Amino acid sequence: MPESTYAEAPFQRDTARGDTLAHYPVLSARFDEMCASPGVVRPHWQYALRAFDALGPAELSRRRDEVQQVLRENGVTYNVYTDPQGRTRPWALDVIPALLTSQEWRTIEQGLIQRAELLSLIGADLYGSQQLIHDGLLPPELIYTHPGFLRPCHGALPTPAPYLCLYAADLARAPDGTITVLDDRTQAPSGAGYALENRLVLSRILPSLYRDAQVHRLSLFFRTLRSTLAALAPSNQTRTTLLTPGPQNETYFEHVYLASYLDYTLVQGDDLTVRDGRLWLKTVGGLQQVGVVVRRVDDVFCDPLELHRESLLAPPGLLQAVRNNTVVVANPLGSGVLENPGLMAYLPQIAKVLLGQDLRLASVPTWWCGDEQALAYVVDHIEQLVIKPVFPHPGTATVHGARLSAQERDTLIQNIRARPHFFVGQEQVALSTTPVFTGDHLEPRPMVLRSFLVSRDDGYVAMPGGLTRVTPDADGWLVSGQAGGLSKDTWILASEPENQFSLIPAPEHSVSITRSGGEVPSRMADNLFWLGRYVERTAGGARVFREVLQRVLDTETARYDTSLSAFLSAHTHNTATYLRFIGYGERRRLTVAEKELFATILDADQPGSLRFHLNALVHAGQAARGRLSDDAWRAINRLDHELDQVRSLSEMLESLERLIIGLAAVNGLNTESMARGHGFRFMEIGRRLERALYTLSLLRTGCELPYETEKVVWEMVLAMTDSLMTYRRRYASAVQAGAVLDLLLLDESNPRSVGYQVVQIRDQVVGLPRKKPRPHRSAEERIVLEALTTLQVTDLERYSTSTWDEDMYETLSQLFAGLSTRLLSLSETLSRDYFSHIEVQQQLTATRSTSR
Amino acid sequence: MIRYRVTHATEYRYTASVPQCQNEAHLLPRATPRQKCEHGQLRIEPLPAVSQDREDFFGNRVTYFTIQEPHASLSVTARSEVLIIPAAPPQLQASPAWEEVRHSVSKDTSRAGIEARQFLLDSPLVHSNTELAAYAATSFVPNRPLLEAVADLVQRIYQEFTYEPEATTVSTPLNEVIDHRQGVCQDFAHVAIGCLRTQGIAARYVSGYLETAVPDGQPQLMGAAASHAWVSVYCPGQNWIDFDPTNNSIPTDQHITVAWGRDYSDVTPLKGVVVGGGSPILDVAVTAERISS
Repeated sequence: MPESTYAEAPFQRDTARGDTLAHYPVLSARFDEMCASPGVVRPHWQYALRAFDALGPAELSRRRDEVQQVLRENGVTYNVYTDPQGRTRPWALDVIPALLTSQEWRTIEQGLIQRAELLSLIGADLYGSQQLIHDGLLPPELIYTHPGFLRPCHGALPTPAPYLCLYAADLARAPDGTITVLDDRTQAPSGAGYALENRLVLSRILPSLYRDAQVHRLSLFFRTLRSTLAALAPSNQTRTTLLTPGPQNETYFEHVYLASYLDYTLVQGDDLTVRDGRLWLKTVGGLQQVGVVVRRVDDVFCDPLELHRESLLAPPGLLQAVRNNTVVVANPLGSGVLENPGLMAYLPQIAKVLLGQDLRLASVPTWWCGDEQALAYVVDHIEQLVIKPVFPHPGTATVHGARLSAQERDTLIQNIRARPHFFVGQEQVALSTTPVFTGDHLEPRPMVLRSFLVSRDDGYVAMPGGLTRVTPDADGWLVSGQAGGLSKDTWILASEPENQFSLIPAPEHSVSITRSGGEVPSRMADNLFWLGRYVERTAGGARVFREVLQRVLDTETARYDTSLSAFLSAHTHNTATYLRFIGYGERRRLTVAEKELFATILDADQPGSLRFHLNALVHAGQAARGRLSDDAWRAINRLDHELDQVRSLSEMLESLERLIIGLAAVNGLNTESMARGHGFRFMEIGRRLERALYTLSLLRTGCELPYETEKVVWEMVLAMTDSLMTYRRRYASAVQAGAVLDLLLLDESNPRSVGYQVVQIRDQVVGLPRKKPRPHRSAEERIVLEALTTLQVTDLERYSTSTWDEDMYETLSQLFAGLSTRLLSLSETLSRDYFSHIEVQQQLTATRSTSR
Repeated sequence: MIRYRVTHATEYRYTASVPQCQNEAHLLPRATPRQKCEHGQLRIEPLPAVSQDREDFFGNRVTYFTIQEPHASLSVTARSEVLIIPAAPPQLQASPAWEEVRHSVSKDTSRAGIEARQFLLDSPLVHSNTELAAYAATSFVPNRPLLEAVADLVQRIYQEFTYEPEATTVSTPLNEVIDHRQGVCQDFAHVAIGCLRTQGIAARYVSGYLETAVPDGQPQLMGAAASHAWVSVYCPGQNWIDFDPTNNSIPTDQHITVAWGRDYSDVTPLKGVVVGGGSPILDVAVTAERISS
């Protein structure tokens, strides 16, 4: 983006009190990050505020829209569990950053580093000698009742030093200006990737301000993370993976994003297997050893053998592999015990004993109800407290005592008394407010800052910045991604020139030149294969619908019934999904075609609709994100919106045109930008296979339609395969069936023909990895060879006449059916040989004690 | 000192081939103050690719093993010789009042006390509830000596619950056992543990065996050909005292301890995850013979 479009106007005013401040209310009960009192701007905000003033509301609005557009194009999303449609929610980023001075940040940073060290010592102790419990510094019940204390992880697990590799804390500022910790995140902290994306977007939208404000960079944090994890690996022959629960997880976008940014392999549980006491990744070329797992799966789900038995999110035996020290999991399994908010009540004393220091960052005042005195306090003060379970538990929400009815409060007190260990009471911090640009003005919103730390051999490094989130409305008290709300980039303003680059150690190792992009995990091969298929399937569908629409819009609809419904049926059979156009009452349905067409194209809930296939394409693209070029990824994201807001059939036609071009762009970018490894191979096979099936089904339909519609029908077939021009150039005559057959079936020089696809598939299939070298052809090669030979020995000579006899139809029909069957069996064989990442796994009935 | 020879054979026969299994076994008897295990070994067929022993959080012996070649059945046989010093029967009336124990244990910061306190708490399969508390209350009358109250509770479970192997499975929740008053030793142990914990008494689950062939003239303990389960109660000063609700007895020399934990889930004799396997058929056989006394 050219810099000049964003050059902020020169500042002409002396005061920071421009229009942007005109309606900015400062609430006396809260600390405002920007204004010390109404109209009085804190010094570190003045420069930025002048810049926003100079931009003015109209320009800020424009840039806000641009932020959302960039986020949408980059596919930045957040999954909402409660959304009935399972749709992802676009990530929301405010155009105004949150600002902190370097000076204040240094104090916060020191507090965070101390806290990370302290929690690490506690974690190592709890899974070791438990001296803290025996010395009376922690009540045993606080630990032993917490579901995050995993007994199988005790004792034998070798753990890295320090115990926590990653740590995150949610920080709030109290009305008196002090920073307090609301939450500790110690097992699989999320948000660092969103913080990075926020930075990339905002620095692009506000380039001058970003440059002039001298903002601390985030890259050191991620480089440290990489070198720390590299140092954890038991051997440098192993790979590092990022373990995700999968696309349904709320922060899946971030898992994909971080894996790609850090160059780790993104895996789900069944991509991994434990053999010989080691952890392996299943790839199309065989098993590859994994040395480090960065997990985004909660630890209780990380081993169905020893932990949660129903879990499919991690391979059985993972814990044993960790015990064997052949793989390191970050953060360690069992570290969830440190997220117990009840611990906060005991941290000050533990800091004194273990570190000989006072806590630099206070926690939100906390009472753990397992302690009798604390319980009495919580019951007496329940109206002023927030009541939380010590462990996230379905059906037990965090509640604010003051917002409960008397009856609800009584019930809550009963619940607390029945299971006191399970609850804490915490003071509610009146969160500080920070300006958000909403409508055309700035508005104060309560905020929470999530900070991130990573361990290094000499201590912890904090990300200078973090993920600021504000509540969805002005008087909110709960900040959570699930509740909606807005995020902000967080700028730590350097008071001196940025010099961190000179401080960092040399890069972890020099890059050794390589031409392989690593082995392709079986799941990734599967995703790429289906991405290829869905791109073609969607393009095919779009072409069929385009032809149909053009004829529907044409007033002359004499041959409308038979040919159109036949093609829609063909498309339907081809995609193995049955639309409303076929079956009982199809004629009647075609008379109300417009409505039906809308549903068939746009209804995402109807399997087989164009929208349905497009969604499948986008999902496959998301899952294959790490293998696609950035441009291809953006092209796919753009497709996702091509069918939005279509109101009429003519708009529909325009949308279909754009979609077809967009799909061609995706194909083109993939072909031009992907290295020719196994990943490309599987995508290409998928694409060619689908295109061959599509063309075959159109040819079959053409042959089955009554003779009197022939010319129109073959013209439509040529249009649907984008081969009309080729045909006309060759024949310069009326369309004739025999010639069409030659062009679309046999002609290996026509990139739309079945023959061309099969030749392409053959060329890819010979290069597929083979687990054991064998002298004879693989199953895949044999199938393709059969298909190609069938085509090449087909004699179309006698089809050049204008009338065909029954036998000729029959021969063709068998030929089409045979080719389709072979192509489908190729797909199945590939699945069996290369994509078998999903194995049916079961728990043995455990032996029980039954004696009498 | 009594010497037992113990054999515990488990076999799974699969209806579909299993390319890989991973298992965890609590099958080798642990050491206790009155018990020592000699020549303990697991024989696993087919031969596992990896087999590793360790000690778990509770000090029990655990074996992890994995078979990586396709197999149609899995057989695991644990053999050992166990030496037991017979326990003197506890003096029930001489134990402190149960309220006193409840009070002192909850504040006990000795090593043994802290260890015991985790057995006061809910565990994966045993959650305290009002039904359990009400059932226990009949035995826990004011000022009763702890062990007398426990013996009474155990006797009531023995009398009021029916041994019925078909009534429950591994996954039957405790509430159902209480509602139907039916189950097996493992269920009765869970009922006793749940009741005791509602009264503030630390109770743990013991997995083990009963003597299968008894000396002449003594009554045969029933159903000893499978693995057994009973409970142990923490009584300050007397350490842990075992009670067997299934036989209404206080174990002295016929119970062989394998492992203990908060409930069955901590000490499952054999569990595993297999790939494939169809519908496996399970067979278990146990013998515990006295070879010298």
